Amino acid sequence: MERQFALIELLADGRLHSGEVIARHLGVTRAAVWKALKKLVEEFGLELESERGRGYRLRIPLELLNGERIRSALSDAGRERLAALNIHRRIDSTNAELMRLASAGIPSGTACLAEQQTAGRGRRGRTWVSPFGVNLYLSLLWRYPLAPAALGGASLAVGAVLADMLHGLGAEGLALKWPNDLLWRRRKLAGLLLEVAGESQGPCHLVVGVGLNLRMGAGQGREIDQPWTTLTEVLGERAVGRNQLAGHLLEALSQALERYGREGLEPFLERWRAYDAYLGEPVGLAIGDQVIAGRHAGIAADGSLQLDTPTGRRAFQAGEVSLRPLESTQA
Amino acid sequence: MDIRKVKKLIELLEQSDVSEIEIHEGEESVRISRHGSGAMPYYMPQAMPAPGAAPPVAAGPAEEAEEEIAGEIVRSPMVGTFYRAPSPGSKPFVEEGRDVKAGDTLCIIEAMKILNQIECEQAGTVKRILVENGQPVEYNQPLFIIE
Repeated sequence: MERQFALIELLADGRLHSGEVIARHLGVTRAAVWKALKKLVEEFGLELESERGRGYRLRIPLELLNGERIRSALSDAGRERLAALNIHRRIDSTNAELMRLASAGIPSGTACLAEQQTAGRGRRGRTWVSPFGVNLYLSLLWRYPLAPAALGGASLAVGAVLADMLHGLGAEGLALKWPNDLLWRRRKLAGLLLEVAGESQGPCHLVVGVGLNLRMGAGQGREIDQPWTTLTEVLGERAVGRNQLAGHLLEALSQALERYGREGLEPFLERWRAYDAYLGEPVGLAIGDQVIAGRHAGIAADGSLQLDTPTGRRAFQAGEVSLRPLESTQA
Repeated sequence: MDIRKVKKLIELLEQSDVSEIEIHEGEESVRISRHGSGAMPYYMPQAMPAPGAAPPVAAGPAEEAEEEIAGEIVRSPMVGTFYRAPSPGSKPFVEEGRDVKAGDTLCIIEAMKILNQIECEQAGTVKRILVENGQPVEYNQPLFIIE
C-alpha cells in the first residue's frame, strides 16, 4: 500500500514518468515497477497510459486530498464547527467509518474523507462507484438532542445546500430529485446518504455522506446503472480544485446541520423548491413492490413528497421517484 | 401462525376496547390480552402436540398464567420502509430467538432516504419479528417483541 501510494504521488501530475525513474523513486526493480503499475489499474481503478520507450502517465491527473488545503478553504466559523478531519487513502465507506466511531463517542463535527472507497454505498445497499482520487467521498457526523424522527427534513436541507454551493461556483441547470439526488441535465452529479442512530426520544447522531463526481473517466464509471455526469463537465473551464471543493462542502454542510438543529427544515424549503426537478411532471413512486403514479406536486412543509393521484393529493415519506411517460398516469 | 396475522391482531386489539382475543387455527392458538395500561403481555402459541397424541385438555387459568410471556413491543418511531439487514443479500441484524442487548441494531427504517438504525433499548430475546423485509411501516407500528 505504501509503495502503491508513493507511486500514485509520483504520477499524480499526469506527466510521463519512465520506468527507470519510477524504479529509482521507489527503490525497486523494473519488474516490480511493472507489477506496481498493474496494481494501480486493478486495485485502485486508475487509468494509465504508456508511451513506448518514454514511460507511463495517469490519463487523469490527480489532486490528492490534503488536510491543510481543505482547512484553508474554510471560514473561521467553519474551522470552529469542524471538530476533526480524518483523511483516508482507502476505506470501506466514509459513512460506515463515522457510524462506527460515533458509537465510540467521537465529537459532533467530525469529518471523514477518502481517496477511494472499497464498499461505497448508495441507497439500500446499492454500490456507490468510488475509484481512487477522481471524485469526492466525504462524510460528516453531527449530534442532536432530538429524536431520530425529527431529522427527516435534514435529508432535503443538505440536498438544497449542496445544490446552492455548486451553483455559487458557477454550476447552472442543477436540479434536485426528491429527496436529495443532485442532477444536471437529468444525469446524476452527486448522491447523498444519510444515516441516523440513537435513542427513540433522543439524543441521536446523524452521518451525512456525499458522493460527488468530479473527474471520473467513462471507464471508471461504467458500472453505474444510470446516466451520470461530473462536475468537470458541468463547470468546464471554471473547475475548482478538489481540496478547495471539499472545504466548500464541509463549510456548507456543517453550517446547514447546525442550523437544522435550531430551525428545522423551514429555512431550507424555498431553496429546495427552486431546484425541484420534476415539479408538475407525471412520475411514479416506487414503494416496496408497489408503484404509485401521479403528478409531482412539490414538497410539503415537512419535506414529504406530494403527488396528485386519481384519489386526490397524497404525501409520501418513503419511496423512489422516477419520471413516467404521460399515458401511464391514466392507468 | 403467520406473523402478519399476529401483527394484525395486535393492531386490532389496540384500536378497540376489547381487552383480550384468542384465536384457534388448527392445532395452534394465540391469545393476546391487554393487562394494565402500558405493557402488553404476549401469549405463545401452544406447543404442537406429538402426532397421534390425544388432544390437549383445555388449559386451566393457572397453567395459562405460566405460558404468559410479558413481551416488550418495539414500535416504529416513524413512517418508512422496514429493512432487516444492512443491505440486500447481507445477514439480517437479528433473528427470532436471538439474544440482544441494549444498543444492538434491530433493523433499519428508511424514511426520507435516511437510514435509521433502530436500536434495542433493553436486553432480552427476540420473540417475534412482526414485519417482513422491505415492507412499508406506519408510525407506532409494532415491529418486534422482545422478552
